[in-house]
Amino acid sequence: MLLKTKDLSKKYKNKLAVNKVNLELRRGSFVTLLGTNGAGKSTLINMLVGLKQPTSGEIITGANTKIGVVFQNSVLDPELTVHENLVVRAHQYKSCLLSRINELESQLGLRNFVNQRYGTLSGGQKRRVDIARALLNNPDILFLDEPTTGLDVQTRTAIWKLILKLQKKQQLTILLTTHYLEEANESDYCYVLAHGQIIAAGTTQEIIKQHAENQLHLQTKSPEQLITLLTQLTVSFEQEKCNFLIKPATTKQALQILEVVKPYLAEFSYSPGDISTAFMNITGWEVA
Amino acid sequence: MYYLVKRNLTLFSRNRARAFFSLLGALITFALYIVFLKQTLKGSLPPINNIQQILDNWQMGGTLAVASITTTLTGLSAVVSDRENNILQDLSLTERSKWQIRLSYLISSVIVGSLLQIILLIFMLAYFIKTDNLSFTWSNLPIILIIILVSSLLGAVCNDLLVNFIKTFATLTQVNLIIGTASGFLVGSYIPLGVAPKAAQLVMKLTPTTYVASLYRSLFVGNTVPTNLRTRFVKDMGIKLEWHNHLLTMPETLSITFTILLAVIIIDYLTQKLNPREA
Repeated sequence: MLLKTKDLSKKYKNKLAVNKVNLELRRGSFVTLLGTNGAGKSTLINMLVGLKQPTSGEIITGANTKIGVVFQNSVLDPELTVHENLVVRAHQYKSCLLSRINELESQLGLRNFVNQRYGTLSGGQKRRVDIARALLNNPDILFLDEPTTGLDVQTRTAIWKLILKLQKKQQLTILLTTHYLEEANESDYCYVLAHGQIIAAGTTQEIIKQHAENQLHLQTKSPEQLITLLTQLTVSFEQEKCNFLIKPATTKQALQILEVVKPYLAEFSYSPGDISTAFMNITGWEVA
Repeated sequence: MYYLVKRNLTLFSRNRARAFFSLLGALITFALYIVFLKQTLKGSLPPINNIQQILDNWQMGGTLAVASITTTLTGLSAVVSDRENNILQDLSLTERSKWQIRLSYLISSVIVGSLLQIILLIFMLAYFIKTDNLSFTWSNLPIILIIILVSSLLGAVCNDLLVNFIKTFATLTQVNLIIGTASGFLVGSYIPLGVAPKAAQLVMKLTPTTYVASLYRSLFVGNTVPTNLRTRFVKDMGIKLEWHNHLLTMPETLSITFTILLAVIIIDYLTQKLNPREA
């Protein structure tokens, strides 16, 4: 176990931002922290990295656990070049060798713009430099606080691949907060935070299974026949005139149903349960 | 820590406008003097042979003192912008302590303050030597350089105390403006200390940098004032400051400056120690 929290709480005046959170980070695991805006993600991360003191509860870390943090906003100097920025930060660690900067510059593909001022880089380039900065001290845990927010799809995918590569190659432990739910699909474990509390936890597949149903929509011109067939199959359904909604447990079951009702079908659509639906079902559909 | 200081200085040097504006308060004092203050002062004083040069020297002292406040404040502006942009948080996650980080800003600010004062001094000397045939006592140079350093240190520490209470860069810009304008009055560069109302005199004497101004003026003006007018002149012009009917000597003023410096360092330290806001 690399990091573990026990009833971690943070109270601001009369608002409980984080409420008795228990989470675990295993070495080499990739953990996602999902939550709506204002759910307490940033407060929780800030406590885990040591920037904020918890009001109660504790954080247990392995001895000499080193951390790296990619903050939501840029924390490098726009007036300095990429290389200058990394050199300044590298010298704030006793053990950090300059060879590490070279290594990271080629590993993260920064070579083409190391001598460009950080402020003139594109969003994706900046993020790569931010990640390089966070990896300077060879951290055991890398915290990423919404690293892909505000980036276009291509850049997001590229950053994403890079993070996964790092995790696999270096056995890096990653804790990521995001509100791009599909990003959670890649993770080993997922915590869903709402109103400062963890309200669901598990692998994404488990969470989807528990909280999002598969949906099979059928449209027919002869509803009576369809009702008869579905009753014979002992499938429960919702009907609205010619439209039927079925929630099959598996895709296989959906196919079996389709096979049987095929002669009477006008249209159909099938959507397997996904993390977005699960997330909405867990955290509620209202806007906070 | 060397690299943090270097970073702060690089950031300062890459923003030329900021460097210029930090000297603006001092340059305005200088410009006002040339445009009308010099004539007004000359008219109000008894006729003295070398009054032109005496006033030039007096003026340089005040302007450098103003610069010691404004330049060091600009030098410290990185503390505020770094706090606002979470850079302080990022730095606090490294192996540097909170004190090392803060000290790096302070050192950069002292370097910025000293260098800009030296540039300003060269500029003013060149101007006065050309226009008024001012003669400069080169033997004073080492002690002038020491006072430049001490005044920058005093300015930096006072401003460091101040920036503890400033959260945003927008506020800092306003504060900068106020201090730039007020400092000329506070050190008695616009209106000589001795002719200001009693209450204003007290405020001036409570301003740490006024003692620096007095040191500079004593050094620059020296004994060039005719003996029969000297006591009155040095008192009125704020060359020597009066405490309880006693005109402070240069060593006394120097000791007071160091005492203030020490006191502000302690207050600044305690303020930061008791401030839970910063990690």
